[in-house]
Amino acid sequence: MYISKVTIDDYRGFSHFEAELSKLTVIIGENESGKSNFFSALSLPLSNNDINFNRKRLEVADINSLKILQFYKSIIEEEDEATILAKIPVVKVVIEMRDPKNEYEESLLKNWLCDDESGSLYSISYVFQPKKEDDLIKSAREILKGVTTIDDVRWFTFPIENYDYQIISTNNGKQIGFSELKRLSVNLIGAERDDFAQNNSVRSNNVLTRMLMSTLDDSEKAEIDKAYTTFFKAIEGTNTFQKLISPDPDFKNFSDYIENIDCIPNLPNLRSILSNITLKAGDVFLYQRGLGERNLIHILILFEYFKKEKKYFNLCCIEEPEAHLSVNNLKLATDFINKSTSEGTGLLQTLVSSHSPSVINKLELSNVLVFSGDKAISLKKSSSDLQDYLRKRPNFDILKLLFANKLILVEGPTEEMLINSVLQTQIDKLRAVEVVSIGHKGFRTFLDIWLEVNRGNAEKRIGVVRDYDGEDKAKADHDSYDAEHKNICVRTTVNRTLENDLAEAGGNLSVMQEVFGLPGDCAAEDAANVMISDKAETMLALCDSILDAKKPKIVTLPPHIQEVIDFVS
Amino acid sequence: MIKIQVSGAGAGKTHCLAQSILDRLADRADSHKLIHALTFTNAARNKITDELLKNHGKIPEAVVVQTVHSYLLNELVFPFSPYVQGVSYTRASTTPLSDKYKASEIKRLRDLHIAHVDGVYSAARRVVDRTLSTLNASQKRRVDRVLEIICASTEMIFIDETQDLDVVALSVFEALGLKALDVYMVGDPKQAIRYPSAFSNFIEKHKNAGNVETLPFNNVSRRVPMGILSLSNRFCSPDQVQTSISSKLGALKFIESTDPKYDEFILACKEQGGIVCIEMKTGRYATSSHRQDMFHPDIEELIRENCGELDSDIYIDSEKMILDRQVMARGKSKAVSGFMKRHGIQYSAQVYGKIMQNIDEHDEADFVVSSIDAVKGLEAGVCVLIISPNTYKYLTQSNLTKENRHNKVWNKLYVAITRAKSEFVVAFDHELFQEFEVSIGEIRGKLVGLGFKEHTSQNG
Repeated sequence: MYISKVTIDDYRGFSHFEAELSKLTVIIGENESGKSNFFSALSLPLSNNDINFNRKRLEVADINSLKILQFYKSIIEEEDEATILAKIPVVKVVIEMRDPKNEYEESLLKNWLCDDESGSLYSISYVFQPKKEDDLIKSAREILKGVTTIDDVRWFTFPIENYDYQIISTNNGKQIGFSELKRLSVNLIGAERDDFAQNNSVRSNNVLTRMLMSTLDDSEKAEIDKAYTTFFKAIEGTNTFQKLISPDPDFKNFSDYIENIDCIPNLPNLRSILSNITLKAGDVFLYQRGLGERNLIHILILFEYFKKEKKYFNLCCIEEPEAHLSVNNLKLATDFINKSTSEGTGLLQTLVSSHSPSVINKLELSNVLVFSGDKAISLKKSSSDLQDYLRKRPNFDILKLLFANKLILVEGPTEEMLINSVLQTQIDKLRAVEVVSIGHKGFRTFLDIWLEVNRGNAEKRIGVVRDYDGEDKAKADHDSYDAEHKNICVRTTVNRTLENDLAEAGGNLSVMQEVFGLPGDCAAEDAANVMISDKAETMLALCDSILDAKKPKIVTLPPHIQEVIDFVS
Repeated sequence: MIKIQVSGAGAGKTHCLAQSILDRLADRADSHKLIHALTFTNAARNKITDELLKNHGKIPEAVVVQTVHSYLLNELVFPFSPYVQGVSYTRASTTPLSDKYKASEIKRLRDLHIAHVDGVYSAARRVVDRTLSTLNASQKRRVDRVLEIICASTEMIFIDETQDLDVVALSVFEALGLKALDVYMVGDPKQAIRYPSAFSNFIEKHKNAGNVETLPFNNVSRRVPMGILSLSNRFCSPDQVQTSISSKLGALKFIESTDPKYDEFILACKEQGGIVCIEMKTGRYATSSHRQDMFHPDIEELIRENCGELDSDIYIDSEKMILDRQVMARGKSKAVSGFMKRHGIQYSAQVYGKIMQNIDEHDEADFVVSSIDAVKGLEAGVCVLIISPNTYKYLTQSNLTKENRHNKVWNKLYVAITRAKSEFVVAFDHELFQEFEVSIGEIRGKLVGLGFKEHTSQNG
């Protein structure tokens, strides 16, 4: 079983948000795209092993402030009662679950079966809403007394004390009790794992203690109890202890009492005993180790624990596993996350948020969910071409492709070198434009996935610089993107390749003659052929001359490149 | 697979049931699946829980003992109605409904997402019985899916007092049992008071069915002594005649209202934990009714608004308690008008009626005794039955037509007689027989003829 869909309303930055999840989902998005809020929204309808159930009671800041203002506006403008009622902010997180794999999982879910043709859709909801809508409206009117314009209103005055939360079965609205909710839990390994250090051993022990408590069998528990008793026998056996309780020979009858004195543990239950152990790595306590190391062990322990969990469903959310991890440790951690999720009991589902291309590539593009604006776009349907591509180039920066504001895609390193060198001479334009070399000729796969995320987004622009190579059909295919999308610009060389166009542009021929030591009457085509014969070396030499500190050469970009740069800048 | 065990009165049903539950628990393969033990009343539920505690030390986690209604509501109606019927229920109501408006009232409550207790059987049937003609093809597919899910989470269902289920409830368990689920029904058709023939017909219907096994009848009584069985066996069909293994001999007695110690005897018997029962309230005998714990849902809604800062559900419960106390202290009409005033409820005959129908009856009567319905499942050393002309006819089985055999009253007599562990006493109040066609003397003669001996004071 797994959570297949989450719908969030009126919570923090989300006014209405839907996301489809898989057994393992990698969430990517720019900063402020709501990744962390998404995780905290998920903890509302699920049980979070947290004794403090009050966390589910939200604060004013947790309600979407736009919705609050819309509601206030409706009151100020004295709209009719029905409209006001409809505008009351109601925080809702609906979770849909699917695919129970066996009878046990079916039993876990059975009370939440939904009216759905599949017969295998289950749903629960968290709802935070006014206890009585009339009271809320009354309080709001009180607050807004004398206010005539929405500009004079602050959202944080919202009378939240009228609100209460409920976790309900979506099918019939019946409240779900704590014991039933226990079946579905969420665990968050946050990005701010630094407090782990201040908290010394506490957090890791929590996990460790829980793990031990749930996995120790009865005979092992008895073994520990026995050893613990022995431990106290040792204390009793020390000279000092004996001295302390030995009868004073001067008082004869004293011994009648004193002989009965024993030393017993004052922490009788197993959990207390177990919570007193801490992890040691090498010769030092774990909490004295470096941040990265601790993070790694933290992730490994947690996953080991959840992987073995057979009783209840666990949604494990990890924020930025890459944080503080070295390349090797990150590789280990991602591998572990991936394998644990696929090998686990079926009751483990994993959500990972990440800014690291290597995490994303390792956990597979088909699992990636892109947060952009108020949408979550799944790359599940993205072409297998791209996935093959990423398999071959595990270091390709998919994040740059999806999120750069001004992006130019080129075929190979020669174009990348040339554009970057020329742009570097124009200091004002340099910083904004990302040039990404994809290492082959077909751009359509990349444009398709870019469009998935950025279609119609005027803030984002992408340009493509390509070689003609005598292929009319390929040119036409690429040009259609240019024609159909306002934020895409595709340009192709006039001649077969870049080198030909470059030699023909501006005064480039004489620069090339000089840099490559060619005769003064050498034709553009011949100069281009020199470059074609050793693309990388010659382009490097040309770029070096452009960036020469003493006597920089002026190279004119061919028109197709210049147009693309002008478009994205 | 359905197994039916017919056991006569006093056969030790509860004990056997608890043992079978524990046996099944020990054999079960899938540790997550639950065993449901269903009873008809809360009292019977407690009896099973006690028996389990006695045999096992604790109630095993995997065993859920609850009433049939609570099972059907929580396990079938609440979770699956939305899926099969597109109808969702969030609450249940037990408020009494008049027969005349029952159907429309149940439907109206359904629109308010309230499941009425009288509609629970049918609502449950609509999610599990694919033979229902009202289901369309898509709903039938959904019923199959629901059965699949129930099988996935249920080890077995044990039903106590199966004879108290009506045809609809039986068809619910029939649907579950004929699908791969194991259902074990224990019951006694002789004690079927509410639906005298439902269980017998069910047994008859499945007599030769492959997936229903009727176990040999258990006709041995541990409780009822031979001297009393001699009377109760007159109410058994030949295949269900009981024998006793009680160490007592058992006695049949009668006491007449002309006996100066009559009143004293009845009161003393009640006080000493004996059973005193009557077919229905009459003359100076009232039957104690159960307190109604709930308001009519409409009344609930009327006062829910007044709860202020308080939790509305708890508020409503406390208001009901207050009203009941007021009724005791000030009488019905004053209490109700005070209640309406306090809540600012406008008087209307309808609203007044809805409040009144949930208030305890406190009739003037010399004796508050039990109805025979209420003593089902109980036992006592002495059981007194106050006879009326009607019960007399059945007791003596004089002039009974064939249709009148094994009917409601017939079964009630069997129940009343078999409550007694040592003495069954007929209380013969002459006042109740004033207009009866048979003379007092003849009645007395018939009683003696049946083996009743006159009760003498020193026995009381």
